[in-house]
Amino acid sequence: MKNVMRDLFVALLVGFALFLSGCASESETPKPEAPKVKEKILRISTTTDPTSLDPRLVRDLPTVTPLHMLYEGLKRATFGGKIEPALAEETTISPDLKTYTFKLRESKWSDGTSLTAHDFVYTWKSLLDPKFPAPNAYQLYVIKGAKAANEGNGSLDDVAIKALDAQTLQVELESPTPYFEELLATHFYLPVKQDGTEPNNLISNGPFMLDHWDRNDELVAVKNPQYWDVDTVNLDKVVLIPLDDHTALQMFETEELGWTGSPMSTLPADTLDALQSSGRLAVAPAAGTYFFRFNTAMTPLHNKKLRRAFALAINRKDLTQHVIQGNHQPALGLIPPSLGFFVTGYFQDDDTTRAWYLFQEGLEEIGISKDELPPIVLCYTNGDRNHKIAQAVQQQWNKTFGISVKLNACESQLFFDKRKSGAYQIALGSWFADIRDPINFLDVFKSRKTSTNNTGWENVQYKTLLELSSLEMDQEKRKSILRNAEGVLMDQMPIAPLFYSSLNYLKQNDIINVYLSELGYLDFKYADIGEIVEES
Amino acid sequence: MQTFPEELFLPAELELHHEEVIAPSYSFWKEIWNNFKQRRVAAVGLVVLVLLSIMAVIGPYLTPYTYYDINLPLKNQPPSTMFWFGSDDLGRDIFTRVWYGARISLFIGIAAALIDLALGAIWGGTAALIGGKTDEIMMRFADILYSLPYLIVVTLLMMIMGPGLLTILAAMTIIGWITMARIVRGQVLHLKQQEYVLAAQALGASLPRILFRHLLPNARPHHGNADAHHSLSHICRSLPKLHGAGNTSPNSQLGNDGS
Amino acid sequence: MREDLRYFLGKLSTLFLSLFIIISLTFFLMKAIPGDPFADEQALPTEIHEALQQHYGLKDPWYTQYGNYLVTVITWDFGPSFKYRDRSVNDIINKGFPVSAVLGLEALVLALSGGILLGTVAALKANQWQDYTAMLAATLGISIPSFIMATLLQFFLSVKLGWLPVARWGTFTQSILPAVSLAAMPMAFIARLTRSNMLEVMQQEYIRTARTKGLSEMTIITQHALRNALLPLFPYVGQLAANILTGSFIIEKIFSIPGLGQWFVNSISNRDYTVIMGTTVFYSIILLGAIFIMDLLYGLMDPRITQRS
Repeated sequence: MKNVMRDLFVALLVGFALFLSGCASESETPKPEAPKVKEKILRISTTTDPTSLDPRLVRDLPTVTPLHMLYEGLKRATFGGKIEPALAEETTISPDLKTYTFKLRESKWSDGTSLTAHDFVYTWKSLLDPKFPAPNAYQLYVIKGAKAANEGNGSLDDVAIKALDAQTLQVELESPTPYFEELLATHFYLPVKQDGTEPNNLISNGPFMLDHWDRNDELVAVKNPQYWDVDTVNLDKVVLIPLDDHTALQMFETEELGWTGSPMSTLPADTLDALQSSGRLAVAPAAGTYFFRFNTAMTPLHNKKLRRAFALAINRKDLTQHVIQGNHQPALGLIPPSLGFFVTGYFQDDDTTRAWYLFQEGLEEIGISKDELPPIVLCYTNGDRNHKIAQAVQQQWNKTFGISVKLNACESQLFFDKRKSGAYQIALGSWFADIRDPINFLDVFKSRKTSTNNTGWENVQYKTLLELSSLEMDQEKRKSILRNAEGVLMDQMPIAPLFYSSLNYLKQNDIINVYLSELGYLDFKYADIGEIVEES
Repeated sequence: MQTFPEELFLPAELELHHEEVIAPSYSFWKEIWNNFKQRRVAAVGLVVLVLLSIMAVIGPYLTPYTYYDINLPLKNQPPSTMFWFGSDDLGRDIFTRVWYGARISLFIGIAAALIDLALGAIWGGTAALIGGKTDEIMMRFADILYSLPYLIVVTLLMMIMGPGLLTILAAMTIIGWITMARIVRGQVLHLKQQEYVLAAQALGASLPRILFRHLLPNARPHHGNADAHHSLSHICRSLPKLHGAGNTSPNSQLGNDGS
Repeated sequence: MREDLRYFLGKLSTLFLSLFIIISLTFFLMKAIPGDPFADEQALPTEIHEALQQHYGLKDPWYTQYGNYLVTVITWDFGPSFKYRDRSVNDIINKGFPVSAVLGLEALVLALSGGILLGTVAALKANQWQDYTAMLAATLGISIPSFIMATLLQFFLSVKLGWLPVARWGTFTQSILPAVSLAAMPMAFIARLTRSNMLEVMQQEYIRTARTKGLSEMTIITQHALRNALLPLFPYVGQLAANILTGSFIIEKIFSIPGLGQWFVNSISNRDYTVIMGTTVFYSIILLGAIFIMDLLYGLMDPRITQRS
């Protein structure tokens, strides 16, 4: 008994060492043979593992990139925001602008079978099936009969998606939709093959196909030999690796990664300044805006002048240059300039004089004095950056108005709950566009009941303008209608715009032709790893 | 034959005075204090702690800055005559913020350590001493509490109590005492067989008396762990912060500035 | 024998009762906090949100939901994750646990052997330089948070010196840094506890008796002193083992290790109910099991404590 303990301990150690070495040799990857031609492998870090490879189920932004790698839809967005034909070789639009007929090119799935219009019919109808839980179903509501079918008020057969023959797809819309082709380039409209969405046996049709996916470890996609345009694809392999942000940066420095940062992950905030001054940081605009929501249903922010006062008193230049890093731009309107539509602002940044007057007038209108003002609380989700923004703005408002706004940092779900139930006064928020069209931003506040609104604000003129814009097919006229709508929003100020978002990333110099969409995803169809390009 | 004088055989006188203990007698606490003074390391530690506490109290008054004045053009300055510890990324004086935060950190750290110590020691000690079914129930209760997803409990506390100092304290102590209880239980299980415990029981000592007077003081490791918990407290504060249980800014705590 | 069997069965039934209480409490606590798996910064249209909730049974009355959860636990089939729709919770646990367990085992062996060694040396050479260095190391180990230790090690040993890989999992060399970071604090804890206990034990009479019997110092330490010094640690080690084996969120995050640790934390902010239930049940079983085994061992090694007092 006495010796047993010691012997047991030693035996345990020895056994453990053997066990470990066994484990190690099992999982040690065999040395690859020296390749004859250097394989073009692009390694990217992501913050989280992709949530699913079925485009019908995906809502989170980081997973959109692998979807665009593996699948292809009717249209593709590419450099400069242009929409080019993908599977839809020819598109014909009816004179009433409601019927789209697509002539599909001959193409195959990764398992060799032909891709036909029936696959699109299957995918889109399954999305709308109320028995299939698709969060993205509402993106198809522009199609006639879609909303009714999805809500159980109509049959799927009445949805206006038809395969006229194997290579011809026809879709009828509820009403003319100027941004329909933008929609077709998003992941919401990607086709899937029936029973081909199991990750172990994924059948896809895009430039790349799934080689293997070790969850939380790496996702490896290789060039898809069945892709119709396979000769344009240069990369041999794309590898997505979930990594901690700091670790990813270190691996980028040791050249184990080709790309890190937006859109799939975030560069550590404290490194942005250093990266910027060393000239290695790459910046691109994002189609996203951060703003404060005001609860217009609660005193005292039901008063428009007070809202405008708070909005005008913010010094956005200080915020973007000093408080938060990342090359974000002060926002003087809701719609970011990256959508290529508008460039001038609706008010002046840091207009403290006017803000003070508005503040006084607002108080008078309500009939209270500054000291009688009920305590105002600013809510936001926990996070370093949000915290800094809140503190900075708190001080700005204190300096201008002499009042002390309370800060309330919450856990994210608690915050969403507060926001939905209107149990807040000022809340930090953001919106990132689904498509490159301003209406996507303006629709957020369309009516009081819109789920994305949460400000309790509604305006008849605003709603009417938005609806009018959908009927207007002339680009310029439509732009001016939308601009009018934005004007109404900025006058009423149920929200105070803060800044337009930017994508900050690091990319090795020899990687070229990657399309980074303002919508927050990467497209590698034309990407290449070439000779080191001398950066001027 | 040798003769012995008679004086040698006179009866001895009764000495009724007892044996005298020459060394001064110490009370329990005096003994701890003496041991403490002997250990240089412990003494140094105490001095450091006292210094920190003094600085926590007077530190923020030594500078012309408050802990919340934001001064963006002067952000991220290295230590200088203007900012003794430099400025943070919003331009606030770090010296002031560190000592202001130290108040909160020291308070929570010491309070949490004491609560965990008291609760854990009493719980674990009692369970071990009584043994049997009571031990089983008490420890299963601890196990159940320990198994619950901690973040859910913290979120719930946050919802009920709102953000604030007491919430952080509650979040830290609600689970923290369990590890202490386990350690103390282990020690007491081992110690309760000692003779002095049996003697105390034979003399009719009550359970609390045995526990507090005899067992706990001898379960030395748990004293040593009080300081471990003190440091743990500092660390753990970052976890509830994830769920907004902390003070609303611009209050600072050491965890805030450090991380 | 009958007595032992009854004792064992009694313990087992207590275990099941505890498990049942944990499952139930977790369910009700989970439902008590607001939020659901589909709420996000960019909100879904209300009808779709409600349809999704309806589809997954989140709108059913509480007793129906509770009943369903109990069934999933009993059948050991927790269903798919809400956030990662094509992964089942069972799959997540089956893939993640072995990774965390191997890492945990490495760290545990390191912590136990290192801690006991350090503590014993410190006790035997009390108040000498060995004691002071060992205790300094122990204090550092307890005070420095594991994520700072991990980042420092990663920075110096990986990035600067290049001796060890930066992150990820698969080979033995990749496991060294995370195991060391994980083992640091428990090792320090165990070292301190061992030192305290050894100091006590070495004063005991039976040690003196053993010396007079002529036993070598080494024998005394390993066969008499250590055993009595280490026994009180058993309950703590049970809890420690359960925690380490099921994965540390921070270490696995920093070294990008595909273990189970991240699921415990992320599932809660995601309100991924099935994952929360699955991981909690899994963890409870491991914890209760580990404590049960350690209590049993403790009882075997020191028969005195099982005597009714």
